[in-house]
Amino acid sequence: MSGEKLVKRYRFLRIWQIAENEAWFAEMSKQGFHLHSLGSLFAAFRPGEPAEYIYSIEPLSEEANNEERLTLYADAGWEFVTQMEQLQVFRAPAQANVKQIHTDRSLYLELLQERKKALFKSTLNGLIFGISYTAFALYRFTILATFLGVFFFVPYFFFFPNLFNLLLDYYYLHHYIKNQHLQKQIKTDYQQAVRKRKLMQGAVCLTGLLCLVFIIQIACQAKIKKPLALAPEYLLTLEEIYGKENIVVTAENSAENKFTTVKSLRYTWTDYADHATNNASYAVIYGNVYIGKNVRTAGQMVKAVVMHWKKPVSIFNSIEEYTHKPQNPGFDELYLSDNYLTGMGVIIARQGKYVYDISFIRDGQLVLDALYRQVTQLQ
Amino acid sequence: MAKEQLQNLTEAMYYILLTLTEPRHGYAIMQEVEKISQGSFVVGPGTLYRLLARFEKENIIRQYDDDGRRKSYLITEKGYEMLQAEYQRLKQLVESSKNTLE
Repeated sequence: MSGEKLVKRYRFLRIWQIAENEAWFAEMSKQGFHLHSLGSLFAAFRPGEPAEYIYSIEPLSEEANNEERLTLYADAGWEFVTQMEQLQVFRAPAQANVKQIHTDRSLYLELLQERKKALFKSTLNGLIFGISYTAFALYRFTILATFLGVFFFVPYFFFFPNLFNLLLDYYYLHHYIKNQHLQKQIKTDYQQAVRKRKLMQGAVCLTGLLCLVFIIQIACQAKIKKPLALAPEYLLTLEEIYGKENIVVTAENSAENKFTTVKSLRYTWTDYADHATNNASYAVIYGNVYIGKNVRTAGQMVKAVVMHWKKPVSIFNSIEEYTHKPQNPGFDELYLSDNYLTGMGVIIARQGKYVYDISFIRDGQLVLDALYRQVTQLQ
Repeated sequence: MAKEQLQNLTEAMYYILLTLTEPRHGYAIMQEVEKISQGSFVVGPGTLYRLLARFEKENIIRQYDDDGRRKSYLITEKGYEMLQAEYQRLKQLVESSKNTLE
């Protein structure tokens, strides 16, 4: 018999759903699967002869184990099955008329209250950590950081289910104690408990997802500043920004005065026509260069800038709120697209009554300083 | 809290102390309790273990023998006095209700 393979079943119930778990184990035994061990997700059963057992879950941790206690239980007919977290499972044949482990309600309640206190402590610890982490995340990280800073958030996502489970466990234990107090016949319909749990798991996943979306939205909106009021009255031409000697206008493009090849202060940019053929990374539209990782993102940036004149676009953030961004060399107002960290982005700046927009690549600070120099000269 | 509870012995405590006037180990206590109460009262192993630990801490019983797996216990002087006091109290209780109830 011992050579037979263990059968694993997903544990829908939390272990602190004491009465429901006891009913489940008994039900499985009746079908010929005897509880062998408990994992965090699965319960292992050993196939065997169907038999009627009563299971009893003891709210005691491993530390409480000693020879004397286990011998006493064994003498009384309770066989130790397995240990999990803060609980032990014992079983006894149903026909043997074995006495209940706890015959004194107030003593049993005392024991449960002790466990509850310990559980409360760890839940509180988790709660404090979770809340402070969330608060920190909302305060410090932007929507950009949410994507870029997956690494910062990973612990949070790992952590969240644990906290949730702790809260759940606390609730179940509380419920169980309440029932014991009221001397209520505890409902031990395992199927019903599982159905409830499935529903709850679904609801939790959905709620978690909604919360996440909600948090991201809030984080975005908190950063949205009111849009620049006016369309640009004056745009710098590429020559003005980069200097005539740095700009090469190709023959075919110059005819339309539309597509331009630009040699920037540091980087060489080819023209818009290249996009169709190469893996070029920017779009040039009427003297404004928009840089993206590819045509598509560049196009999105163009769209974003255009939309920006009409209504708020979430990808723009005020520079004052980001001390780690390139420093504002002295513009009255300065907006940067979030993409600047990847080295490609859009700047929109206002100096006096003039509004400038420019795309930059890699060295945002350099471009910004150059732009400011040019702008102050022009004015 | 424990002290307060031990001032008035519960039924389980009373029976257990009663059986420990002779040295007994855990399971023997359970059986003896059932025997002397003529099956009207049972003590579960969990309850018994908790009570024994508490009694020992309060110095009401002491360890008599230890064969590694089963420890046997015996009531102490203090425990015996408590048992006596409780017996007198209960006797008084019964005496005083005799006239009315019989």
